[in-house]
Amino acid sequence: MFRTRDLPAASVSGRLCAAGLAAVLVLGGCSGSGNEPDAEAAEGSSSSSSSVGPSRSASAAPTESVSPTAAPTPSAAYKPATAQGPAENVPLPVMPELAKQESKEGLEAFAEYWYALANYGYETGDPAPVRAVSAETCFSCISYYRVLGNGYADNDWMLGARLHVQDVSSNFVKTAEGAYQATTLILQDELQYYSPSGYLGSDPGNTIPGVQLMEAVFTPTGWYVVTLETIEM
Amino acid sequence: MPVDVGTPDSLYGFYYRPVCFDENNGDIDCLAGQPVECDAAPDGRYVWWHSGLKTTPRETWPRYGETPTCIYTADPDEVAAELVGLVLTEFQTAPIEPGRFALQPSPFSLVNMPTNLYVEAQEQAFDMTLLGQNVRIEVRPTEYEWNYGDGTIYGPSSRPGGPLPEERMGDATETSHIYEDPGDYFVSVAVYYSGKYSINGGPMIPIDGRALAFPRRRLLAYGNLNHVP
Repeated sequence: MFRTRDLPAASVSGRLCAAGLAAVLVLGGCSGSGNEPDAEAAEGSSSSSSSVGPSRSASAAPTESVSPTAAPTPSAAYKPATAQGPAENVPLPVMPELAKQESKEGLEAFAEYWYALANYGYETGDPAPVRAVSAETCFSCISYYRVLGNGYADNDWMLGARLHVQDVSSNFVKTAEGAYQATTLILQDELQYYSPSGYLGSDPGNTIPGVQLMEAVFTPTGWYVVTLETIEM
Repeated sequence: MPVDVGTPDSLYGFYYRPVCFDENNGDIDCLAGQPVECDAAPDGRYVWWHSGLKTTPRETWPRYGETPTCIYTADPDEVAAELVGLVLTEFQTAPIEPGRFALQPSPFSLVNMPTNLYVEAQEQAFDMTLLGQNVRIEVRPTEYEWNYGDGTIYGPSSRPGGPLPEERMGDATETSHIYEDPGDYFVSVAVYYSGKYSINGGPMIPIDGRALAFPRRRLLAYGNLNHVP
């Protein structure tokens, strides 16, 4: 059973994608951005940060566990991003207990949680929570880090970009590589880019559903994404 | 007739559920709270659309969209059951402008040298009334299959190709072809269009399958370097 959930949005400053991308899930990335600072150099305005380990080897299992720092104190109220400034005190999504299970329901819950982390990144410019559970073979992730890096370069920030998970499904059948698959039905709000001197522009999200395929392996520290790609849009 | 180009069916679907009506009796309190009026025609009633992956049970699919939309019929279930088939027929028989194909170099091309062929085809929309509902079908060129006329067929491919700049004329491209013998060749391309439809401004719903359209074929003459026709 699944329900549409509006996940807290995350924001990133960025340069515009090349024109004509039309209906591409921005999670899948823009190929035409220029001046792309290293994604890891982007600093979000969030009070939460994660230690990002060295780049992972090709093996699926993470070599270290990453513990994000605690969520903001209860007295710091969440403030969404506006044209005047980035989001503040964005709460870091907490992994649900179900998402820790090696089961069909567990993977489905984890997939939903992964998109919540992606939205957190769009609001804060912090890709670390997504990086912590995603391998370097996740090509959609690499595009995502680039968008965040662009979006939050030089005190810029983003509005919108929120991913909505309309549905998620896993047949929970192990692939030859030892991963399990889940498909998600995704919508994304328009991505808007702002700088301290004003509006920079926007990229379309997708108002027509797209389907993504996630492949994840279950490790001693939980689910770990090895593949994420758009398979229908 | 249905065209099978081997494309998989859409992975997700849509359906609507009438709201505010129970056994053809309207619920006044429910109707009063709705943000839209279904009064463009008789028997207007609200429906909520639901969408989800085909691998999950239909009854669990969440609502889709911000507001309900309208269906104008005394029998929403019958419309739902019959409309899909009618849409498929309309899609297959829509007067799709097929587009055209172009080639470089032109008008003369040489054997043993790549000729860059590419298609220019457009997205199109068709509005109609089916079973009393306003239906819009949008089509988009998705795959292309070339028949080069020398016994070679290429495709279906998702790449339409494109023009090369002057300085790159004669380069091989993904859609280029080399003719080995001089002569005249009938060249044609089949364009496969994918489609989506919406009912009364509701969500765009993928149509499974393709509609085929054929740009006008052309007779191309190929000569040797020493003999330009």
